[in-house]
Amino acid sequence: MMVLRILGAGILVYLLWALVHHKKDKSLTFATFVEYLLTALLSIVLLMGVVF
Amino acid sequence: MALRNWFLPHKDTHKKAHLISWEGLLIYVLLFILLQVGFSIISYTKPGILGITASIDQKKLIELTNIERQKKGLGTVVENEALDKAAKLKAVNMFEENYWAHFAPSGKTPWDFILGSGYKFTFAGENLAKNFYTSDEVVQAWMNSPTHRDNLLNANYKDIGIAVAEGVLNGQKTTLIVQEFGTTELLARKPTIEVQGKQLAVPSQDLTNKPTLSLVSSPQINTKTLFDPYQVTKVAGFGVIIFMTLLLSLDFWILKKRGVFRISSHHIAHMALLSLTAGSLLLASPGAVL
Repeated sequence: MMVLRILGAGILVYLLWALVHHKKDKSLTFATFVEYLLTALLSIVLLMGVVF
Repeated sequence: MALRNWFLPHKDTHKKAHLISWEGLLIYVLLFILLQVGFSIISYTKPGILGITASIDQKKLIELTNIERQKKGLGTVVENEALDKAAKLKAVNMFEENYWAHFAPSGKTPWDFILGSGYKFTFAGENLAKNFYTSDEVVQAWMNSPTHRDNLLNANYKDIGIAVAEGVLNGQKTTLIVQEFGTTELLARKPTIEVQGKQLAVPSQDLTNKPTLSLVSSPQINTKTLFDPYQVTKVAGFGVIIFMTLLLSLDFWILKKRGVFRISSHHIAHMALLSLTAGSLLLASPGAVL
């Protein structure tokens, strides 16, 4: 379960960074954030398929 | 919609290739969810087709357990025939009742199997494992879990029994490992059993009323495991990650060549997460301990 925790933390950093960066950049659109969300979701789905 | 736009950025609008845009990502996510649903359907309709083919040796597990105990300066545990039988009874029962737990849905307790095998313990413990490929992985997983490690390194134990049993659990071919520890030496307390870090006192009526259980030869699994769903997911996952990394690199290189800056593209961030995912996939194992 350690890998799940590490990936979870990585995803959190990735999404927070995306939010802060695009907000500061004034480039935060729904489509942009959906792209980040789907990349994060893909990572979770891939790992879940192996762990469970 | 030109085929090249699925792989390369648009030549006029410089829009990202579809396969690395949100549409592509949605396709990958749905495909992997579909793959998992497919595995569940196969497990339900054709039990035993999917599963893991393990190479786990009972004697090696005892040897590795004793190595870990010796590292901590503890005495070694000796293989006990009755505890081996208890472990086998427990494993067979898990396949029969289709569960993965210390307590059976029918109400059978860990001490039912130990007492039923004729081992009159004063202190005992049980560790379970499933879906591992090798003996080393099993003992390592127990050592990585604080409650299982405490059980494995308990100084009270003198005897050990282990069963490595193959069968079909939840529709998938599974190798179950049951590790039973115990001592018959008199300790200054009521007989207890340790499971998942909890010490459970054995009810006094159970100590006298337990019938002796006998091992019925478990049916051989005739099903041929076609493929390992975890390895399939791993390989497919690596495939998608490599493919996406290639497309992201291509996108970055082409845009640089065209002198275009796309505000929504952060290739490094995406690649960093994909690399972390690849690393996690590499380290991840379907093995579980209880």
